[in-house]
Amino acid sequence: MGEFDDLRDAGLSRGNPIAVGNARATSLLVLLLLVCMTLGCALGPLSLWPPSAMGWQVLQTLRLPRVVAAALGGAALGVGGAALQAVFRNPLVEPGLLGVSAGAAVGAASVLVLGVGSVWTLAGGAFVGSLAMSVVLAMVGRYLGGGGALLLAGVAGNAFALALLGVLQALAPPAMLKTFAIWSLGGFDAVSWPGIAPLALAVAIALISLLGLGGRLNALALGAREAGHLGIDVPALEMRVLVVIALGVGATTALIGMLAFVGLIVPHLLRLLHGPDHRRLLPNAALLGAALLVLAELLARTVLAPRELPVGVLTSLIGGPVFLRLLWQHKAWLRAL
Amino acid sequence: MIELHNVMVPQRLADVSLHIGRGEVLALVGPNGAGKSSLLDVLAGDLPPTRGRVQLLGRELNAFSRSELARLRGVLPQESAPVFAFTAREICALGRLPHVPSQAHNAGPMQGLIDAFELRPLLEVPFDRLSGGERQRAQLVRVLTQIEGVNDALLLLDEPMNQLDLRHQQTLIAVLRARAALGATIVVAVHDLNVALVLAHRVALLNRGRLVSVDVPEATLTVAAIRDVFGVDIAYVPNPHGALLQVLKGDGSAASSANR
Repeated sequence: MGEFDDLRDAGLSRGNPIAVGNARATSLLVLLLLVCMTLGCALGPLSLWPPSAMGWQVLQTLRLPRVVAAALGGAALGVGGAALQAVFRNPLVEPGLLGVSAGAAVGAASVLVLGVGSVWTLAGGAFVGSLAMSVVLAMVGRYLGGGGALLLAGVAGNAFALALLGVLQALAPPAMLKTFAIWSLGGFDAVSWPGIAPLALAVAIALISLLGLGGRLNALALGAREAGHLGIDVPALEMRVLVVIALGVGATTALIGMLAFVGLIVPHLLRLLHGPDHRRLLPNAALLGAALLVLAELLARTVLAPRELPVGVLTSLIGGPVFLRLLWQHKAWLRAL
Repeated sequence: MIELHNVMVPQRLADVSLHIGRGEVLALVGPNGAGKSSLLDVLAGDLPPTRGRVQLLGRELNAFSRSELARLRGVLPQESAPVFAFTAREICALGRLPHVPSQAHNAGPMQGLIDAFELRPLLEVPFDRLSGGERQRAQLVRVLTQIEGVNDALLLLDEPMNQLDLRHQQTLIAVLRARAALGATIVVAVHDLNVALVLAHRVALLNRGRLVSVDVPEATLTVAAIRDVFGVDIAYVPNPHGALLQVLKGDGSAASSANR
């Protein structure tokens, strides 16, 4: 055993020695994402083979934007879920469950009902809405603890945000109801290349900001005080993470709606695969989240073809039972709350 | 090394002045609620006093940045529960986080600590599956690793003997004395007065937020002082390595043996 092993395995050395398992997991996930994206582009009612002008048109204007939006949104939700669990030191939270997505939907809906909706203002409104919810949750986490109190505050916050969304929907002219349906149930009907731009920017910023924070989030797992003793400015770290989560989750929600459980399942699968080290977890969560949502998009429009299942319905159908399974897995931790 | 001047924290500490020298092991003792943990919090910089000053290496403690402090002082809290299934190895290695990676070669001494606390067979075990004593050993290695190779290190330990079996208590005492001999300043809150007796150069006796006395162990932990502060009668029982405390029953006979 070399001297560096202990440091490397906590993901603390930034230099060359990256664990082999890490590189292997990441390449597998890249491969998985590429396969899923290829399937998402290739499969559908119209065959792309042999090549035709019609096929090219379908790929370019229908399938590819949806696949790219799903990949970006899945990356935002996956990395957002992993980061949210890290800052709240709670393995059972994710943006959908805590109402961060619902806050985003309220923000976007307010912008829409005010009559100033554009792809950028909707994403901006969603960012503000999800950040507001995150800040309330951060207060709860700081003063009441990040365990049971946070989960309950998330339940209440989620219900409150959904009620606000209902009010806005009642105020909205009928022409907007289709957009409200997308936000509530999730869907790719509103996706277009210009609509993807804010999401792409938000995901890029979120990934760049989060990927350097793995070591610090590892220390935060020890506890807020312990992390402070290791030199980490915990409130600043929390705020930074919550802002970038709100950015990614906000832009995702504005475009493809509230999708629950993606941010919960993804980090759990990865912890089973390679342990909890956030230096691996965060980038891999983006990759796995992207792959899973691309797959969900494909399933949503093929299982009931020619009808389309709302993608949020699909993620909750899968995610609900998985969540119960996770509760069972964390029973000791939950009883201690 | 670290000096407290008339430190005051409402409800917790009243007018505590204390100078702790480089390479000194100071034990904080006192009844429950005497202010041991609060005093450690003040020394760690977690609890800013409302009155009075705290100076570390001649500088005001609050003038140090978090990362500066993290590179020279380690803190072992009384209880801590890491989330997610980090392995014992990963928990230990977090002690190196404050140090720049080029100092990663200091990992060598961590191997020594891992062996001293017999953690090697447990390195790949998730922390939440370790026993209480094993967790405590891993946390101790983490904190000791943080100050490894640091000149003028400060180590603040709240009940480090918690859950440790006899042998690992002896290991810890030996490791702490060795670190102190290399220049580390160590402040330990302990409830077992005999541990204070064998571990510390000086003992500070606290009661209701006040510093009753601070002196060499035998001078602080007198029969009279312990009767005053703890309300129990003790006797010193000679043994081959020096006298140890024994608690007496109300009738003056030996009760539960505190002899280690």
